[in-house]
Amino acid sequence: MSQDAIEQFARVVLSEDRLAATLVVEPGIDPGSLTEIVLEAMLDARGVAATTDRRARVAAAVEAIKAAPPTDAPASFIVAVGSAPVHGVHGRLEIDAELTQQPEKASAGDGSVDHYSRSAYRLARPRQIVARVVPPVPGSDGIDVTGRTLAAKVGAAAQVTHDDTIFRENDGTLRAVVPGLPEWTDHSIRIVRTLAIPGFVDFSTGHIEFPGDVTVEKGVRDCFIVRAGCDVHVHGLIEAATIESGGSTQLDSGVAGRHKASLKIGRDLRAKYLDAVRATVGRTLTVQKEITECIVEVQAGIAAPNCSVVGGEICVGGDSELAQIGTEAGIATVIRLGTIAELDRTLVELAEALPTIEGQAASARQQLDQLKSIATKHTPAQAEMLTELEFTTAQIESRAAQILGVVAKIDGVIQRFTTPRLTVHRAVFPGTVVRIGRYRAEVQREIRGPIRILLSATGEPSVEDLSSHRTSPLAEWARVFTDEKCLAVDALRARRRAA
Amino acid sequence: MKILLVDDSKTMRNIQKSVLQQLGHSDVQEACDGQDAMSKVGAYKPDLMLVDWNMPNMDGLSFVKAFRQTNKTTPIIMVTTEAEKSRVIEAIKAGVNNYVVKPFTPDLLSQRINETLAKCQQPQT
Repeated sequence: MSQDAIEQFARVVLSEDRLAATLVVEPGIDPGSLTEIVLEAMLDARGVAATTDRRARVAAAVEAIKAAPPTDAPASFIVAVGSAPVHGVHGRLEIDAELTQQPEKASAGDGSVDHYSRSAYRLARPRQIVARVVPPVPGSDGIDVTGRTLAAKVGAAAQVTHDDTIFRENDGTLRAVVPGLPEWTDHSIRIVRTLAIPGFVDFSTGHIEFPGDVTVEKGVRDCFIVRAGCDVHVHGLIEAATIESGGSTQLDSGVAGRHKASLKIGRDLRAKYLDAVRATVGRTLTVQKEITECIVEVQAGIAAPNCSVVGGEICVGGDSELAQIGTEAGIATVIRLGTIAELDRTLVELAEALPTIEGQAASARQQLDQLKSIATKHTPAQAEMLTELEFTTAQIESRAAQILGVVAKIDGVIQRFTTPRLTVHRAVFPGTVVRIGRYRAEVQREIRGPIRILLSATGEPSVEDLSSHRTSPLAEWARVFTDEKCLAVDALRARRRAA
Repeated sequence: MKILLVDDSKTMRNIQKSVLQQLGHSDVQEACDGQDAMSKVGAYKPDLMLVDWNMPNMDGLSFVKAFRQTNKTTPIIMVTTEAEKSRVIEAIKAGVNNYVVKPFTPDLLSQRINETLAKCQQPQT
């Protein structure tokens, strides 16, 4: 068969992507005329690159055609293949799996789920791995059947940005520098130091424990805990819940605690009102409206010129200001001025323990002296026992002296950092008990404001009328006693003065 | 400063250890008799020793005599009930630097320790 004739029956077809060359053989061809040489020439003419694979495929096609020439329909044989390019993969920011998992349900210990403890937030700790910058995959070029290179797309490095809350290691590992809530996009990551809760703290959020600031747009439901390392701001009502903050706290709506709510505030507390709450405030308390049936300890002062205190007990260290204490109904309300409650309690405990310890020391010393006086010469065993008693007695006496020293220091701190002074703008009603200095004053008749309760130069509880600037003893309105809770501490103070 | 306490009574050793701690000495080792002390002084090399007189196995005086054969300088305080003059002289001749008679107060023991150390630190003339 002539070349032209062969080409009527056989042709080479290149695929659109030039990754395959196919020999198409029509029925009627003389199989003997379609030799490897002829086919190779046809492929060369089409520009198909000569490779070992091509030769093998051509040989196989020739054998196949000889064995079974096409009769009814054309036969196709792939005689050359290229390789497709493997495109590069761009680098990316890969967030650590721990941060993307759904929070686990906390167990209550008996197999049931504790929905309070199930937190909706995945927080990062300092040095925790939060993400990784995955490097790009370079890709590899392909080649078509004509030998032409098919260029692969290059994988580009990820351009990841972060701030100083994230540290990037040389291998692309990203670690949190500070504790907080990781926040990320495809190309950036940071640790957020403010946790903003758009709704309530309730079963949808679980308890909140966050190292930075916390803001709650709505309120905090019964039995839930919000614990923040820094400041807390709650816009809505706080029910019988617990709020603890290392910084300051602002409660726009107040607390309806039902005697179950607890506030522990490291610095300042500002609230609209407090109702049946137990609160300790590290610095200043500011309340707009009322403090009702609360147990409150404030280290600095109360700045609440429009606030009424009704019921409960308030203990405050510094200069304070209120509108009214008690009510005309005579509800029992206790105000303790010029002390730091925690130190005060320690002082009282030590003062009450000291006589016992001193008694033990005196008893041991007496026993020792008696034993010594029995004989001038002791057996070795007696000498040893006496030495041991001597040592024990010395230890007890030393402990007593140490306690006196500690009491003096605590007392010094209380005296230095407290101011027993309270300004009341409207009135102090009967039923109010004022504990100030070493006195306890039970108000018997209404003290009309504006007045200031303070200690006179001689340490007596007094009332200064802020209109006339006349100062009178508090005894004019109240029955004044020595505060029995101060007796033990008073005795210690007297001993120190005598020493 | 390394201090070796030699006394068969654990209670006495505890008292002495407590006094030494108050004086700021925390490197303290204990021996329960003279023999035990002899086995420890070589490796421990104390800077001061408090030695009881009446002990089983090897009493304090025998220990001091044996120790002084090879070491003339480490200060030794005898803690003892023996207050008689002849016995005190015997102890000093054996090489004891100071002594404390039981029963003693912690203050007295402190005083003796400080005295002994001060004397031993003075240059010999």
